[in-house]
Amino acid sequence: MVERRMLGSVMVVGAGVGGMRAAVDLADSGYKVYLLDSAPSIGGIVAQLGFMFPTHDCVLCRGTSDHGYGCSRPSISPFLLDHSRHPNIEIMTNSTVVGAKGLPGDFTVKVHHRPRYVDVDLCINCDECSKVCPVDLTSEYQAGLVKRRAAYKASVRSAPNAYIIERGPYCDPCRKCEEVCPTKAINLDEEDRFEEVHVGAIILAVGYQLYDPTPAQELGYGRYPNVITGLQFERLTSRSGPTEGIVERPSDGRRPERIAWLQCIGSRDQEHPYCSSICCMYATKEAVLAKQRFPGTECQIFIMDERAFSKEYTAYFEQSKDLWAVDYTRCRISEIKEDPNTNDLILHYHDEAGTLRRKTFDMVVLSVGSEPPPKAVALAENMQIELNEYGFCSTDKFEPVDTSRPGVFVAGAFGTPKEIAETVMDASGAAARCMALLRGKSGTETAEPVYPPERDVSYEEPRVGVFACYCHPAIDEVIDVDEVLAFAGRQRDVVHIQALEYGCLSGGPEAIREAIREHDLNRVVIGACTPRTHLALFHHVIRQEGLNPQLLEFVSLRDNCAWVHRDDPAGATRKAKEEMRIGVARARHFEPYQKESRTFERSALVIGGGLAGMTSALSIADEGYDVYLVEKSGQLGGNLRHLHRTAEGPNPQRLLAGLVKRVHSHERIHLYYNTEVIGFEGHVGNFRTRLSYEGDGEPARCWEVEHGVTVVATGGYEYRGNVFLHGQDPRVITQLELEKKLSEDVDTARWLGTVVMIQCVSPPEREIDYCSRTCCTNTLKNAILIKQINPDCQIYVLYKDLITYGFREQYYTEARERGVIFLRYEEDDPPQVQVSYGELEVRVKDVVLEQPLVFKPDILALSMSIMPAETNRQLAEILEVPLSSEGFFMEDNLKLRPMDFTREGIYLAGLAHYPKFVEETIAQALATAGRAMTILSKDRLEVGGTIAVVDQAKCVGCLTCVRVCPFHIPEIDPKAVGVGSIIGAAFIEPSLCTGCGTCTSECPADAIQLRHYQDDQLVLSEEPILGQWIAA
Amino acid sequence: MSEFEPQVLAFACHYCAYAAADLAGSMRLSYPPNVKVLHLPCTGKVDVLYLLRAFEKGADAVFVAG
Repeated sequence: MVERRMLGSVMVVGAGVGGMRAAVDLADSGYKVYLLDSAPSIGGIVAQLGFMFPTHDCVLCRGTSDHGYGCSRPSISPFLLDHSRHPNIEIMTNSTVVGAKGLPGDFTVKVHHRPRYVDVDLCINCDECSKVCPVDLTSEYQAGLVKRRAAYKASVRSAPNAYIIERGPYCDPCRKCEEVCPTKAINLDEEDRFEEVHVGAIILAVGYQLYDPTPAQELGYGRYPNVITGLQFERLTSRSGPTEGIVERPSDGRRPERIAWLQCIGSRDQEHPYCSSICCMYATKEAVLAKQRFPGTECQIFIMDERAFSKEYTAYFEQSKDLWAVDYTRCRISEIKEDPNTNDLILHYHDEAGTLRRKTFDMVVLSVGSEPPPKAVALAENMQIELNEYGFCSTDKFEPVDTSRPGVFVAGAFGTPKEIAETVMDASGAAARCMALLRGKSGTETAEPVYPPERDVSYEEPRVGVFACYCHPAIDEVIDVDEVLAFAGRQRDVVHIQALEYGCLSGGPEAIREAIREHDLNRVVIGACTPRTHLALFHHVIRQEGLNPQLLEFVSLRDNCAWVHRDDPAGATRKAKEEMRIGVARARHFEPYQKESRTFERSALVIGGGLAGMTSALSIADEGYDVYLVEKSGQLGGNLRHLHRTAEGPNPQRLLAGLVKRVHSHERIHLYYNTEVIGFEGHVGNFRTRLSYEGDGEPARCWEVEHGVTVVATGGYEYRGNVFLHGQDPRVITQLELEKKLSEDVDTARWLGTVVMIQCVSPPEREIDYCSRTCCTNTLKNAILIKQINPDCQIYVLYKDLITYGFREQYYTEARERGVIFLRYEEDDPPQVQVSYGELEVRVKDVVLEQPLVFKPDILALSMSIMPAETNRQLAEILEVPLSSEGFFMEDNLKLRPMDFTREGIYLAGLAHYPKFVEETIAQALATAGRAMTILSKDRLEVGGTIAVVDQAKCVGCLTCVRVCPFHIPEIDPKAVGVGSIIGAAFIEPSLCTGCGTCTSECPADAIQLRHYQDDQLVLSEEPILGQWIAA
Repeated sequence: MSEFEPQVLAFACHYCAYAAADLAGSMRLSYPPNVKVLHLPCTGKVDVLYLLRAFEKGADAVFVAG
């Protein structure tokens, strides 16, 4: 047999939130990544969103928006906050894949690069090309609300951070942009380029497109100016939107006082027989935003079912209704009319009582649904993958991130409409699948930059060199750069000043390096654009001359001075001098420091042996790492043991049998039955867990394992308590019990005359304020099976909201077609169940008929809540991780880190996170493996950096730092010796400290300093700089 | 006599306020140039002493943004 070539590289097609997450996980695990997008910049649709529900995190600091792609805890930020410069990621924008030859492990992908006409390495974002461009086009980024030029920047904070020229029939070309460009970055004669890229695996994360409602003429979109889409509303509320966050009517700029949202536009209809899964929540978010921004705004959402099926969503919905008074009306609007005089919009609808109403609104927002991405068909042909009947990527229920072609994986909304958190789970899951395929190839195609040894500057007097860019015309048009430099030259310890045309372009870095050598500089201050985009570059430059990167200070002359004070050049120059003075004073006190390199345990502990735990354990073990798999009971499988059929068809028992067999026979998996976690300490890379075995046969014992990462997969359970006579009358059973009955003997269905199914049954002793997500589909699955066997059986489903999101909508449609009757009941008027003369009797008031109905079913099947495992609280305390208000484990960030805890190195999957379907559990379990691999694949862990450091000789052990740390990191080390030889002093673990500095500002003994932001570096000692200003 | 111009020192968190100040530039918004921005990793780093020292050395106002 010929040994096949395996490459250590992956191509990620689509650079939205999913593509970025997958790229970062792979790159952090040592794989070379080509991140490709057909748009001129990365970010996808998420980059257009200003706020994320349900927490309303401003994407400014949390997310992936245009603002900076940051997150205060590393999520996508290492790549995107770190100036789009992950050494292992190569970004290809304006590019599409046109073919892929080869086999898993060794693909040749043909890529088409469309010309950008702007060299991204030369573009300085001065906007000159856009100013002279005569062509106006519609701005995609602002969702068509405003115009942009043909020479433009996709968004103010786009990555790559450069302009683009869009050439079409409208461009003659006049070549004005070429002439005016100060850095000669524009070449309008650039041609299309084709490239062959060799990669081991491919991830398709091309996302989705929003339905364009123009063809639906009855809605008036495109004709009535005040009918807009959800995305347009999103842009209107965004601070970076066309109105800077003030919602205005397109027709007259007036603030809308009455806004309506129409749901299911392009979803759940003949053309789109599926639910888009995201619109109920985004409409709710938009309505709440409108209410928050402009109290008194009337917000009415016309909805079919409230599909709030994810973690914390129900609470958000309730808040929207109760706290913000958003009005929900259950009605599908068929037509919008406009008053031509006022451009107001008129809706006709039936209210809950059935009365026909007419109401006028200032603005109508269409909650448009998801469609397959543009060119999905061509992509599928080029990549030789199958699409499903809806035009999305076809996947198998039990292999949710695999396409039909081996070695090609899928993540995010290209597989099925889904929101950010699930996209992120898919992405890390797909990354894990790539790593399993390419195991052992990590690091084979990546290279660390090579630098000369660092110079020891600790005994040298400071010799500061100050550089400033003219960056013509961006900086020098406003600021007198020479004057700023001359001022800087008069500051203490400055031995060299130098102006640069463009510090970042060819010649700039060389000039800085030469000056460092010639003038023996040991501190560098650079006044230039902004550290956000260029700090990493200048770190690299001084590092090449043997200077530690921490000896550099970056002063933002462009974004923080020139661009914000364009009308006041004198004021801008004065401020630039002030900022330079602070920069020099800080730099004089800078000290070098490095990250600490540590050995660690390259193994994992997986808690819970259900579907999530087994999938996670196998995935990690397949990549060659030892896994300790701990199961509380004497059996593997968890809830999967109770699933006999899936709505989609594949048999869960076969999945279970396969997994159990593989777990038992895997040489890397150490399986412990009847074992629980009783103690846990340490931190990422070096956890120590105490386990306790108590089973039959063998004597009880306790022991410790050491491991680098931890996966929590402890599951949940279906409530089986005494409600609606369950447990008292044998005819009352849960849906899982019905499923078991039908699987044991499908003929049971033949003798059933009437079956009633009640949804949303929760324990009487505890209010359940979350949706268990899976029950509606399970109910439909059982109802359809009964109807298939026995079409005469009368089935009534009593529900509050029918949650069949995504393609599950088909089962709702099928059940209705087969004659299953759906009756909605109100939350405060639930069904009544009793036994009367031996007969089971269910009474319910139907909200449409407004009549009490009585059924006498042969079987009453209850959709019981899925409950968090009772041991969660205890385990959460042991692991020192939080629980959500619902009792499930609480991840670090609902959207962007759905499988990570705040405590690094601990991951979460399955029902322990939230109720979910088999395929969702598998995706999240794979995702934990993907995240774990970013740690385990390394030879050594780099820890520390810009963190708080305790001078134990000054510590009095007062516990202030222990109390104030928002991450609970400092502890008193009893072995350390503090001030005056007292026993016990504070210790801050470098791998855990986030460098926020809170402890340093609270420590009464000044015993803690934050590196790079020490008290003396914030210029408090000799120079009167903080408050002083140069006379105007 | 010229009009009084207050001198303001802003302590800005790296993740939000500094990013926002930076974004103001990218969006070509404007604000008066009598505000100096000092970049901190987090507003948790703001020591009360820094605020007092700024006043002592001549600042008319201090702005903590995070």
